Amino acid sequence: MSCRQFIPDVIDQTRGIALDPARLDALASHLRACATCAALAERQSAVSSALRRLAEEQKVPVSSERELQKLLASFDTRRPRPRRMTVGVRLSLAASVLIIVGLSVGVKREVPAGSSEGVAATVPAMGADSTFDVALISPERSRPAAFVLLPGATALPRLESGRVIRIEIPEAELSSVGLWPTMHAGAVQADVLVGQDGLARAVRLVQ
Amino acid sequence: MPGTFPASRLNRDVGEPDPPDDLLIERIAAGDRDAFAELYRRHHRDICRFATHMSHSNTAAEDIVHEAFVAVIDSASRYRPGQTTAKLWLLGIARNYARRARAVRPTLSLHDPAQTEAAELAVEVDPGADLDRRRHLEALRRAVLALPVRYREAVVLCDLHELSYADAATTIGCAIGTVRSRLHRGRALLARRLCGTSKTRPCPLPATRTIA
Repeated sequence: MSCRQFIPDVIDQTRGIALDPARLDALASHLRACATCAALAERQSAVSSALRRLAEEQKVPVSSERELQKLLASFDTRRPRPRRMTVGVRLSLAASVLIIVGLSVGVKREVPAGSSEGVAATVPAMGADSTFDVALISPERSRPAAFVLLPGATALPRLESGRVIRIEIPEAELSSVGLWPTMHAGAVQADVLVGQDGLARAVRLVQ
Repeated sequence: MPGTFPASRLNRDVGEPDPPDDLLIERIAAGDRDAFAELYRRHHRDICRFATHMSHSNTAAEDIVHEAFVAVIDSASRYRPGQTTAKLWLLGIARNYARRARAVRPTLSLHDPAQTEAAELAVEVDPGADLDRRRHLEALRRAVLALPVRYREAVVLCDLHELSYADAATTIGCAIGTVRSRLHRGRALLARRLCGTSKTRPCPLPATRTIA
């Protein structure tokens, strides 16, 4: 081995890092035979000693209560910010809000027979990209129709439970949610599937 | 009493072990000021030592410590426990502020470090001579401060803070091999300043260990 290859071992050894026995033997043999490396080892040993003294004798102030009070004042004014929502979630929420506002014109809750809350049955879990068969929600309905996912619904948390709310939508607003009526009725009824978090997931036409 | 934070305020009973640093940082992210005070008390000393070694004055070091802990308030929610430790994370933050402070206000430079410091350091170190000892330490501190910052970081973290190569690499944000080479280079520069330029002449500083 050349002198250059021993330099890392010289420095590790003088810093107090244990070398494996084979390397230590090789280093000791080399230092006995090489005056230059022996001088290097001595210089590095002196550097280690000097740095050790510096570390030991450095005066470090004990925890300063006054400084801590200043920092706590900063803490009170800055207050850690909660984790930011991802852009996707923000966009989804914004889209949901817009859609809800758009659909809210002439909201009319359906009151199923035997129910005083105007809410349909609890909705079972649904995959983010699946369509939703109305028969799963209202088995009594005679003409099942598929729900259409709202834009951005795939970015929302998985649907675990939810409610179906019946609303009336002006015909002119239908295209904004991806639906097109087959006849001109002025306003149409639609079911909106709202998840456990209160956000709309899907919509379907009743008529 | 202002400035004191009894253990009960951190929701732990007497005799219960101190909450780990990771939990403290999680609580800081949730707005717990007592957890922040506790983290400050635990790590203030290390961060202050690092800042002192990296900056040219105590005032600058105090500024670095302050900025680093203020940054903790803002970035506690970004701390990732599995990727680093609280100490290394704090040192990394302090390092960034030290570099920033240095860019704004450069450290003092020694015009002729090899001759000036060798002359100051090559004194007969007498254990009883406090003046000589202090003079020697001050010259040593200036020699460390005069190192280029990338070498100084490695020397301060590995030799003065006794971090492993891996931990120093985490703090600096580079490869372990880079830390080793910077440390070797920094120590070579220090040796030149402490012992003179001759490679064969014995170093005037006393060595405490021999390895041959």
